[in-house]
Amino acid sequence: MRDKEKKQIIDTLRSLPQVKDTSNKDDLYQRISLNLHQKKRQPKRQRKLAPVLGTLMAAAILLIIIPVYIGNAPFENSGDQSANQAAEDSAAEFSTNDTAEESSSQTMEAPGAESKASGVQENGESYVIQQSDENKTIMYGAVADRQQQYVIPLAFPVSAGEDLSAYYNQLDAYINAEDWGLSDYMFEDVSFSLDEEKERVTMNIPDDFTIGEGATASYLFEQTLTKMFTPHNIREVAFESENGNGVELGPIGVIPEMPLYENEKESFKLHTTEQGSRSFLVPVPNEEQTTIQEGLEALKLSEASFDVYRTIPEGVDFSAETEGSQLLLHYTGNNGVLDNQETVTMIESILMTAKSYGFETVHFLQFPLEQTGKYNLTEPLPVPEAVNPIRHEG
Amino acid sequence: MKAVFDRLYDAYHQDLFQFIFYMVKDRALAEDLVQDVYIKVLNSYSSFRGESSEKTWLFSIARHVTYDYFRSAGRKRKRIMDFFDWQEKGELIPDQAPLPEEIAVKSEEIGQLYRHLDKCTPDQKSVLILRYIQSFSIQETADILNFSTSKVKTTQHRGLKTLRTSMLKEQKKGGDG
Repeated sequence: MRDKEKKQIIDTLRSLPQVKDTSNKDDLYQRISLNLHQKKRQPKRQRKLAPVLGTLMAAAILLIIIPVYIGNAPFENSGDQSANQAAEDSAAEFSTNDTAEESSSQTMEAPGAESKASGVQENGESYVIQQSDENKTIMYGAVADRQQQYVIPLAFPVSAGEDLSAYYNQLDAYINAEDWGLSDYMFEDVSFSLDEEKERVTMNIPDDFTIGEGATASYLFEQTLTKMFTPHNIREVAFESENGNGVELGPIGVIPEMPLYENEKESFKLHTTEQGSRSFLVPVPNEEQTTIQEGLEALKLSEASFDVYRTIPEGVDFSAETEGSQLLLHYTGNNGVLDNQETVTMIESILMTAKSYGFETVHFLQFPLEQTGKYNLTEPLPVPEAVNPIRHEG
Repeated sequence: MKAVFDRLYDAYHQDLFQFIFYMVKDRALAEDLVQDVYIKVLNSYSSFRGESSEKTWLFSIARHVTYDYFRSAGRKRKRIMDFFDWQEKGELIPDQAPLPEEIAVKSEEIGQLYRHLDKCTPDQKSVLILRYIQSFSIQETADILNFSTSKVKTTQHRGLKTLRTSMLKEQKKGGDG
């Protein structure tokens, strides 16, 4: 583009008129105030434990299985202090803190389970589940951050062959959003029925359910469902109401069903809050036409106002090259890299970012370390199966 | 809370509204979205710790709200027409929608450019609006969009190029006709 043409377009852009809002300020505040703190935090209600036997068994299985998935991360907890603190303080429990109901937490204390589960904590912090074997499957949850800018996916390893719907219907008991410094789980009183063959989930929604007001509430609603069910290859959500009259979904309106689409390209950064007890990798959406190099560049930028932090430290750089479904990352940074939690977090955030760009493996080349945490960096690394495993605190 | 609202409104409202208006090009929708921005801002004001300037924080939230709307609208359209891709086609508001009064009274060239803004991606549009309509610096734009300054420059260049290509294409079509 010639300079003259460029200048002409810029001049025309600058000539666009100022556009004023002529609506009344007090009326605006009236409308806003109706929605301020609309959703007060309420003491978490314990969902009824039905079917009780299935739930007890599921809980015991969860605790036994988790270390198999995430218990092989032998690395030092040094480096990023906030992340480490979050790991040490992790309250990622499979039971609520509700003192009124102890039955659920008691079920988690199955004989022999406690020591295995607590072993996970000793091994340090991993933000991913690398790969499950054929006897395992993963249940997915999702919650928005406190400011409702992003939706954070969660992963709960469970035994394959179990009734996933039963797990999903207990999900609110496993999500300790307030302690984690996140918004409340959106589907606390919703029940799900999954039909993986038909790639469909049916949501039974109570009459008082609301996704909140505002033109963007529907995005959070859709994103939460997308992150919970598209990993199971679910392509459609059907809505059912208690009264059978259809479900009013705020800005979405009354619709009988909604297709789910795969997520777009995302950069996985670190989400950590002062008040939250643990941190997460949070997917920050990128435009569809961005390249993986741009996706990785985004990992160098923090949004501290939204509790989102860079995962690639200062002085660390990569040059990306594509080889089929493999991403080659040539290390071009000036700084050395330490074998610590910060580096493991960087590797995992890169792996998850690469996954969202469609890569199956990532090969780090000329990287200053051969091994960090559980990752052998001399070999191509498969992208993880899931992010943000919720582990039991022993 | 009212005092916080009053202060933010007096300092930033018209700029915020204008940014959202040029992003979505619909006055009623801009009114709805700016309301969403204030709800998010006031609900999380106590957690704002001043890592960025208040202005940057407000515009970041406005950007998030606008993008969430775009994505949701894109998915809604996708539901209706499964082949539709808002990021490629970018035509949330049809090109031939009547121009708002403020634009209609301006020159043909300005009206044309206004229509072709929709050919830009949301990132490109955000950069062009912040840089040239709102007169933000490259650094401020980078802070609001959570871009590096080099990404702001690249996106700005691509956005200008998209506008030029799109306008030339239409001129050529008009000439052929």
